[in-house]
Amino acid sequence: MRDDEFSPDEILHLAKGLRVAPSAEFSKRVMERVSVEPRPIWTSIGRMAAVYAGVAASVLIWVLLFGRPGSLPTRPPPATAEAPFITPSGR
Amino acid sequence: MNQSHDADVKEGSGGLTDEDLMLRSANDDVAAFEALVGRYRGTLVTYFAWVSGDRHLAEDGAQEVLVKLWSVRARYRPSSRFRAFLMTMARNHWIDRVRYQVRRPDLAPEAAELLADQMSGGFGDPVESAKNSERLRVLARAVSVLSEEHRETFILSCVEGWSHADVASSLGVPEGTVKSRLHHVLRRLRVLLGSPEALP
Repeated sequence: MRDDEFSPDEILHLAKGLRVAPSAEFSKRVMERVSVEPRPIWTSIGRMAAVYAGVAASVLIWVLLFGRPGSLPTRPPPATAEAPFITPSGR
Repeated sequence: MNQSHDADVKEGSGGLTDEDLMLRSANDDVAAFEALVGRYRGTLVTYFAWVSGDRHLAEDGAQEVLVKLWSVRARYRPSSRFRAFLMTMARNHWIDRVRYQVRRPDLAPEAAELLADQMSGGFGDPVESAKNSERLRVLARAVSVLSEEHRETFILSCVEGWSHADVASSLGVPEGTVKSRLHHVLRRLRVLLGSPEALP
């Protein structure tokens, strides 16, 4: 092999030197832009929906625990004497 | 892997994978996102520099992709490799927004010369960097002659040191295609470097 010839290993070794370094301020500029980037709209909507669902669940639990007796159906209506008795055969 | 790349990878990582950092970013963890920026800024600038041949376009392109990554962070699903996710965004940005600004589809040799002035050297040892600088310039000119698809395969695989699987998923081609491209690239580079006086 001639002195000035490139071996595959040397090509792979030299290839590392083709890396282009970013400028010193690069990361800072990106993070500055990121800090003013608005939040994705659907994330905000998702959070609002979660808050509303939490509030609704709390209200429902409160009503079930402390609501006026009889204001909410807590048991099925009593069966009447005329209630049909249906067998699996349909009689 | 060269020292600057090592520094990029370790910076702020705390032993977390890219996917972990991206999931944390999706929950508005700015520090996790900053660690990702530290890991991939060099890769993105190098990628854009070697496809566009323009240092300023490269910095702008890398910056735009990272800002876009932040804005779509909630859409990331860890089912795909982060590198593939990021490089797909980078390639789309290059094809849709930057490529038309570059007059020639191939990298002009003069662009390779300009880039050669700004390359990191990447060898850590200044003595070795100086010794290799002339051969590096010749290699840069040879790389500029490669087609765009061969160049991006060479950059991700040989410059960034990514695995064939990572390069394949990033470029959207089978792993066999990456191996085949690299084989052709190394053979072509050896031919080109064998007669540097014939390089443009």
